Amino acid sequence: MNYDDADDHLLIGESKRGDDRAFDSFVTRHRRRILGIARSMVSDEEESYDLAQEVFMRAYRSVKKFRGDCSPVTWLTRIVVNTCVDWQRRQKVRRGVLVLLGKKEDRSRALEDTAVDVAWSADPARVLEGSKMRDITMKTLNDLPVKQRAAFVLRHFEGLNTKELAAALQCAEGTAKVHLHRATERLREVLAPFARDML
Amino acid sequence: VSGKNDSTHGHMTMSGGCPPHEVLSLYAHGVLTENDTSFVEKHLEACSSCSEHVRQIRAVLRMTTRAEAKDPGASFNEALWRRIRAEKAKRRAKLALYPTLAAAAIALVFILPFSRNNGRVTDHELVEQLDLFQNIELMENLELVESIDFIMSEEGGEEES
Repeated sequence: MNYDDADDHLLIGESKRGDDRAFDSFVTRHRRRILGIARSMVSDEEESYDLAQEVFMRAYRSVKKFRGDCSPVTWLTRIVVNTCVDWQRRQKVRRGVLVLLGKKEDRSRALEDTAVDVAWSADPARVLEGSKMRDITMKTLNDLPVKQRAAFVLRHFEGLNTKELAAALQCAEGTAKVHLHRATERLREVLAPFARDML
Repeated sequence: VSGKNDSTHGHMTMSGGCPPHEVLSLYAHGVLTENDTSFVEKHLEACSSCSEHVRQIRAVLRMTTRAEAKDPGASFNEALWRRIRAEKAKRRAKLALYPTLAAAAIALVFILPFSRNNGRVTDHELVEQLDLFQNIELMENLELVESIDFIMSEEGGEEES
């Protein structure tokens, strides 16, 4: 069966029946978007690729449990958020272990972070140039709690409305708005000195 | 939101003056209701402080614009299916251990008491003969018994692509 024109519900329905080609088409259709979200959530390119793969692995494992209460896109977005939450948890544990063991890699990362902070406070005009600015923006985004980051990314980058945002974050619409506001305020506080040049 | 006294950010209340920052950032994100949006827009026309705040947020939003992700191509799917197949193979390998474990358990239950009665083989020697405890990998997999239900359900409808 050719799934090129099939809608997501059909693809997921066939995947539930064990048709891997249907799931493959579902992956093909959404891989770019999921990778985009993963890249916004995780600064490291390789890790974001792994995260996107993990999202589809989880989707594959749980497709039989999909009841159709929400759209397949919302279901997949929930998996992204949950995967990011778990990823952040693992990162915290990993960093804690590395700090305890005094691994070189962790010390290097700490030094990089310090370098960004110093550049930030010392000469904002200079760091506006080139990739440094992106680094700082990504670092600020990465430092947000994962739900706030997800709210910002899904609204700002993915264009989800409040209802969709709440469904993806698995919380009330009011809570989703609070996450979005806190993320925005944090970014504004940190990035406002640089934003002045863009006003 | 309109008219509520819900400021939590040091701003004046909407009923008395400026909307709280929360409303302004949600406005900048375009997630306010139609009524609230027109209320804020009317307020912004007259308030330079709030207009400045919204301009800042919008500038920050422009700064955080994501570079469009490229389609990773078919290699993404191929890598995914490799992972899925590897995971399935691992589960099957674990599943294949269960008959061995069951046989070993039965052997322990029935043979060990017999050996005690017989008196010719000690418990320790019998265990060595079974090779059960010499197989470290098998011992490590003993903990997987807990996930047998999940594995059985997975095995039920899976099909290789």
